[in-house]
Amino acid sequence: MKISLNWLSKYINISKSPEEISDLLTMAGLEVSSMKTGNSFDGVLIGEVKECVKHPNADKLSLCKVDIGTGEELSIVCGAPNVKTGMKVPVATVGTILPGDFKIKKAKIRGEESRGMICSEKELQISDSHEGIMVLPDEWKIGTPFSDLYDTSDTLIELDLTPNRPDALSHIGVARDLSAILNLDLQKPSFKLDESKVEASSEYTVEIEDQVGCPRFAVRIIKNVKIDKSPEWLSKSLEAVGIRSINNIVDASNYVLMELGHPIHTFDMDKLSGNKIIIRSSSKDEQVVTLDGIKHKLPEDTVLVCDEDKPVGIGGIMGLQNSEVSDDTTNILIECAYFDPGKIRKSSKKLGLYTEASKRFERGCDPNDIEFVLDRVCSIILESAGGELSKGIIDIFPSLKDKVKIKLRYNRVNSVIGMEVSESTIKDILGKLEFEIISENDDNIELLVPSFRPDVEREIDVIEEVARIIGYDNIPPSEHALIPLSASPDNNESQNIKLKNMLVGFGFNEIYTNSLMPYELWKLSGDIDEPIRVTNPISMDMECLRSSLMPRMLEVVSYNFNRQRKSVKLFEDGIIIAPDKKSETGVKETHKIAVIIAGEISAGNWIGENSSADYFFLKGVVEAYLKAIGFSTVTFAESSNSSYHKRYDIINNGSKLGFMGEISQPVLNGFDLEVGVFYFELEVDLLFKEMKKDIAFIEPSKYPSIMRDLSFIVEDSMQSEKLTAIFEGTKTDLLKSYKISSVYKGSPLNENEKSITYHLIFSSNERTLEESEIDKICEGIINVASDSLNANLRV
Amino acid sequence: MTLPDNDNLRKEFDSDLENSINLPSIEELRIKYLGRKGIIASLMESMKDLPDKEKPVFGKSVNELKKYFNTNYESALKKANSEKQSDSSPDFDNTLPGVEIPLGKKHPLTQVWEEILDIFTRMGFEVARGPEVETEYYNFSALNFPENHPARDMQDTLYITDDTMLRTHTSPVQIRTMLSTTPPVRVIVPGRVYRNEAISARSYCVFNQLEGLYIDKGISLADLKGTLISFAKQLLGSNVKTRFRASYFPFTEPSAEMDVSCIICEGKGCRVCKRTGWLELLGAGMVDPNVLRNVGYDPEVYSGFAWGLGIERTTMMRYGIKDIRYFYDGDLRFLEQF
Repeated sequence: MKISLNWLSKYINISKSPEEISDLLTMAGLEVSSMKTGNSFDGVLIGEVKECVKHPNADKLSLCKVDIGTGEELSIVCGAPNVKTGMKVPVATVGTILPGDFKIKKAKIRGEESRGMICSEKELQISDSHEGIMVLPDEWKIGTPFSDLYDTSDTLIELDLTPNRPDALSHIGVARDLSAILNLDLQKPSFKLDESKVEASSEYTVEIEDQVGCPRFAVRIIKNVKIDKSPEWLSKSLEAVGIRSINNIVDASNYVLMELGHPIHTFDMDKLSGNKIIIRSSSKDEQVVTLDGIKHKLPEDTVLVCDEDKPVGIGGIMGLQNSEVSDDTTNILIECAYFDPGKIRKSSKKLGLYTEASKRFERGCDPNDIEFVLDRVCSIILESAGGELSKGIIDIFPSLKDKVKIKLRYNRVNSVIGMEVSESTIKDILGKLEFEIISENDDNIELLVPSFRPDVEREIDVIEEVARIIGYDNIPPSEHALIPLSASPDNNESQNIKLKNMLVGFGFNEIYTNSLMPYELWKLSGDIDEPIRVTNPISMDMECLRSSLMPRMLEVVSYNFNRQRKSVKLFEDGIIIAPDKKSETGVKETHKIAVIIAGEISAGNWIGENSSADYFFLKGVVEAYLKAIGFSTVTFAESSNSSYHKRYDIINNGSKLGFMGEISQPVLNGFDLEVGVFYFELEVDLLFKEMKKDIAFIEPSKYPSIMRDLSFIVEDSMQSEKLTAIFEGTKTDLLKSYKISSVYKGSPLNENEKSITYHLIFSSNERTLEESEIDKICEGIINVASDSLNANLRV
Repeated sequence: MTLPDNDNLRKEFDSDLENSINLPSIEELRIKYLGRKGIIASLMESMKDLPDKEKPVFGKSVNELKKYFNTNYESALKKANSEKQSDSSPDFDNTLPGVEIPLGKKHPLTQVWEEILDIFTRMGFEVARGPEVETEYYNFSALNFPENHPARDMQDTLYITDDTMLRTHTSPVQIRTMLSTTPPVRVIVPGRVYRNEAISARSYCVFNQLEGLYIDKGISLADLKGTLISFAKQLLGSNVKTRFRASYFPFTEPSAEMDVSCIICEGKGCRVCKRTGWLELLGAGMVDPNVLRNVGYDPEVYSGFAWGLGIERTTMMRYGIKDIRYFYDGDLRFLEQF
């Protein structure tokens, strides 16, 4: 909504700067999104063209002598076709800076001196008109500053309004809020109205069939109007708020729309059939052509304004071409109505037709200002277009609701706001906002809510009005301490932070990726169930919901490789969404944490080798990570999914925590990556549930420990876990740890053999161990290995 | 067909390599095999006399050999280098960089969320979470959004079915939390929300919101102000100025928007704050009595306030980031700065 401060000053006498006004409105909830102040035009003076001849060296230029009251005539070269001797014009003198930082300098144009510029409206940024120089009234005195005579002081404010305030979609509404904030009087427009002797009701009748869609409908009739250009005050007022002037009839209703916020529609009466207006709902498949020449198929149950033959307007949205006011119109029928907000919104949405009228009706217009609005618009039409106004209003309101009554308790005001507000302040504020007090006692007042405020229905809404006008900034903040309600020991949030901290410690970077993706990308997840789709996606690139974090993460890996990164290790913590018929919303949401690894393990160093991530690096990360968060006994089980080349489920006590794997080549093909990409994901809620929180502390031994290395030769095809199981099985109190330290193939071993070396550590918490005890334990292990696996000690 | 004698050349190289124990001898090795007049160069030279059809095979073979020499030469050089650096000779070069330890970083959005979490945890708030796919009831109706009301246009919605949608805000978790607990309630709710908006520098179809809710007996607008001013000062510094403007949200009454003095220009007016000196931090308000009734709380007994802020917006404000897309591109050059 554009508000002109000059226009506003017709209703309220404010002595504040535009900045202060803009601030007050913003603080009261009518947010000012931009403000444009008129230009000052320093250095632009009124001049008279004393002489005007053709430029000797240029066909389209004129050479002028201009008197600007300095006693000396200025030579100015002018390019406008309309410049003539005797004209009064705005002259920008040398040194003037015009809007847009355009500085006027003394110049030679095609060999002729020019000391200033005769300006067009566009050059002064008054309008877009650039057809010629601006011609000023003859009576304006030579040498006077332009800004003294031309009203340039207006400020335009653009309001970004919330949908609950239809009343503020008008100058009077904005003035009303200011009158309450500043405690000033509001002057409503006053006018007089001459009616002819002919009764309007003898000429026309109105019948409302759709009483739900249209609770009130009123018309007035003016005969013998003369369509013409609008008077200057009218066209200038509209132009100031960005509305193009059309003619004296259309402009009058636009003016009242901007002034009072209630849409009006004018029909050419001679284009209407019969003498009855009928308001009904549209039936199936009705088609109409609106004012803008566009054909619409109407949705059923649209409110239609009809004559005795045909529809002539879509109620509350737009008039139809068949009854439009045109240059030869002489008799007009002016409509002002109240339409049901919900119905207007539905139709306007279905039609894709959003107009100044629909914007106001769907938010709720005042059903009770209709007579005033009609009188106001008629007064302007009579003044600017002449004609005879028929007597009276034809006004039908079969289903008009009563005004809302609210009881306001003073102590409730104080308890909601959190400060003492005096009864007189409350009454002053509500009075200025045109709430009517119908009864009162010591504790409360009973109010009638003005019908232009459909957003105020309850006591709390009235309290908001009081708080808003007082200004939230004038409410002292409370300083009472907040005391924790409960300290929750099972705080998943802090666990979640730990999950991330650990990965950050490993040198991994966290990413956030878009949960919406195109179907083609989703397919890379390898998931079998079709994804959840958005029915009204922004584009097909945002159609599917992620059922795996992998595809988008892979995209990020590729993004970074394309930017010359050689080492990419990332993680993401997020929700994945998959179909689930049993749930309330038809989906199952699972919280995952996932890691993706590609390229060098450490970034390029000048020292040592730069090895690339491989499957066992991935497995190492998984094992270390799980151990770090309290899982020491996970197992792995082969699983399959078309998007992974080696894939293993990660299992703890029989429940699947997640999986790890290498992403398969076909998936990588689309990404121009020349390295292997490794991925694992874990289900966060399961981690929370099963993660070991208590640590059983074991005292480290004070006695020296003994190390041994044992190498066994086994068949190449044998899985190492079989051999490892023997160590686990023979674990005594003395064998503190064992791990594989190398795997070897090649000469002098046979081709189908490998050797596996275990590194063992023995110690006791009670004493220093004897070598012979250790030999004995090792011998036992060697015997079991030889007997059960045919694994021989390598010597 | 003529081919270079790779096997013997390798053997020769290996034995030379074994004797290359210090930097000068390694350099000799390089000159002999990889130098301008070295073995590889002369093999390449000899290739030009071969018939055309033999050239590719010969060339391939030379390349294999070259790769073998190169790899081994480089690792010998690195080894000798590191040995040299570890000795205590007067040539020790401390201006060489140390071994690069890869650093991991949390996403800037996580960092800001954890800071906010910290502040509210100290004030006694707990965390609640809720689903990203919501029903019409939790996302709109229970929050007092009338059907067929322009308020629903304030949030462009992505629908899954006629009745389910991607949540447009974290406010449905207010309803879920109140339905499952008895007052007092003091929670903050982080999470992803979705809007049907084209991706641009200023908007993204997915973003993270932080919701807060405080319900108890006798909570007022003054408490809302006290709590949120304290939050803003803890997050942005004790010098930050705040202001509360009237606003509109269907689920709060009275509703407010909280601005903070622009952290770039400190309130003087700059491009970031559009010369106003203020930046919008969050929307807030007293929980609407209709919402309280919807969850079975008596609005005559209980009252409270709620607020919501965009974590992306807050992070952008904090670091002067002008394009929201950085958060979702995963560009390491961006992420490593935080």
